[in-house]
Amino acid sequence: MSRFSPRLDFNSLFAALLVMLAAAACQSPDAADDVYFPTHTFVDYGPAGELRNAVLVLDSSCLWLEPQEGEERFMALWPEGWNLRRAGDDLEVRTPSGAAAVVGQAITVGGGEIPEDYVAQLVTPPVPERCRGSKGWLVTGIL
Amino acid sequence: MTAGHCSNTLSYSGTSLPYQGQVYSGSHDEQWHSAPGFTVKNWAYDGQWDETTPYYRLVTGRLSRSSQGLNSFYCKYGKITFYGCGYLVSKWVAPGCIPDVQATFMQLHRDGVDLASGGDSGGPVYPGGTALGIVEGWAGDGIIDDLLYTAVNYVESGLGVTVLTSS
Repeated sequence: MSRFSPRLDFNSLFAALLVMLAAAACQSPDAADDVYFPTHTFVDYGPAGELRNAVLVLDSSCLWLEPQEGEERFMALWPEGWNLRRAGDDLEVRTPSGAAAVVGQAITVGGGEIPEDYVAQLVTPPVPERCRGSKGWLVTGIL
Repeated sequence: MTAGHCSNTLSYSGTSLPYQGQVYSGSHDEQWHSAPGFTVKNWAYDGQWDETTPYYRLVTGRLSRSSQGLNSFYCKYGKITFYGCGYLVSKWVAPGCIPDVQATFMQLHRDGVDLASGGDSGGPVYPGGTALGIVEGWAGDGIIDDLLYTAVNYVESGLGVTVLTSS
């Protein structure tokens, strides 16, 4: 067998390409993995509250909802399947169907307030120390 | 009065209503505010026009959870889904995001009708002029949803208040 079999070269190239594609899929260049993005599993039930015109703020690599009426801020708890992505200079909260909100903008969200000591029982991954100290807002949708 | 999971900042006609307290655990999801400068009346918003009680109805009684009957046809008002009615299909719902939740929440359903959505919380539930409770949440696919509510006797006992049934 020739050391330079065209078939062997093609197979090697194909295998290398597969490895590269798999690596690219695992490490999306627009992922925002440095920001804590807690998710909950309440997708077929939700409290029917509303938080109006709260600014989505990034602080200490945590996402907060800051009401504009002087109330203290909430840690945002997102539905399972949502994620955070970089889009140029923006950070976007994305639902399975696309972008839903941009960090820095005011949004109105459905859901409800969650006591601080109960937040940890509702979300994954676990709440890091830097994100503790506030009540949570269980987001069920952006209105 | 509104749901306990709602923001503690509340206003009416541009006037801030001071927060007084809330309960959000077990069988409870309620919160109340005082209304200085206003006269509190036994009115519940219904969004329905009539000449004697335009967009509201007089509350003249209350019905505790134990007296609310399965399959009864009850109505509600919510800021987002407005006025609507459905059948009481369960009295034993336990919404998981309430700490130490008890299965005492009530569920209204009507085929093909969206009865609740984010923003409806705290709205009244009634048949006629009888107070049944306040809107707590929704259950379903997020598009056509059932309504969950906290029974009026839990609202009263949790907050130590009484729903007005006379002027």
